[in-house]
Amino acid sequence: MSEYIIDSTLLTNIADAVRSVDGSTSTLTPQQMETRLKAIKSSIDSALSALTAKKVEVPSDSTIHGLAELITSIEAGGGENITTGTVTFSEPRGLATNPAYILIHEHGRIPNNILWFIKESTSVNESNNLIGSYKASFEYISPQMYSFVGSSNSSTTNYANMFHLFKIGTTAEYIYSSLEADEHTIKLFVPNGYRTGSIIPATSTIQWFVW
Amino acid sequence: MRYYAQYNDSGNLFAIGTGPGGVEITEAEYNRILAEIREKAALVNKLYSGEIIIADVPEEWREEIQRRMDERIAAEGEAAQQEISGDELLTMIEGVL
Repeated sequence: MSEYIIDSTLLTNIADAVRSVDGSTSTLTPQQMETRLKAIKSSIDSALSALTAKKVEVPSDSTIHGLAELITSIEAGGGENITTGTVTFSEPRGLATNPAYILIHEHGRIPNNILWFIKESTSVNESNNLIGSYKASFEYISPQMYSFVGSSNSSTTNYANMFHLFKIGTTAEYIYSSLEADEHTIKLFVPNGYRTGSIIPATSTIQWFVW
Repeated sequence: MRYYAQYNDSGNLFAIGTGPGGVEITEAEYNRILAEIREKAALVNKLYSGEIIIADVPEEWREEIQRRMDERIAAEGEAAQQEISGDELLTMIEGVL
């Protein structure tokens, strides 16, 4: 198992997310951020082990931020099925239609959670927004988890290692979008007023898990 | 592992991936398309930042790369009009951590 390193890029992502998204957390100190990150770090190995045991393929080149929540779910539910896949868009995708995106998961039942994350850095300036950056339906799941989101004006932000965890069906704190799930798909809806400048980045492979 | 490609209503490639969905393709085809997606994105970036000119783009891709470049400028403005660089922003954020 390779060592997981807390680097400045990750801290930058957190700082950016905290400041741009959730005013209630803007008082987080660097020490508090580091505490959260260390909690994630301590869960990474066990998360990977659990996923392997569940025969979920985890790409070896992935940076597995956020998978701590998966192990929590697995341990709590005891053998929940997890469905996973990837998607890479052919070019930056403006969210001009509704639903803005339909993820085909074929989980077999309506999933309770979806986690997606970007495995590698997205192209600078091609990623004004990510599909997870609409603030809706996300919440703090645990102190170990944070939904990394980009601000609407972060064209120069490096989005590497971003992840988004959504509890499907939870009440949105911010009504910027919504998710609708059935046994086969998850549909992302974005209201008209929030589509401008909203882009799904190209070239970055999005790894998703539903369970 | 299952590899797939997704096409829009016009028959143009929309996305590729692994897992359910789309039309199944081979791993070799997946890797070829993925490399092409990344190469095109890199060309758009270089063109946007002024590292290359459109004549440097392979002829068969020029129309697409130019269109994407135009869309990007429409969305973000000219690179020269950016108020701060990525490094500058990073320095600013790290400075308050």
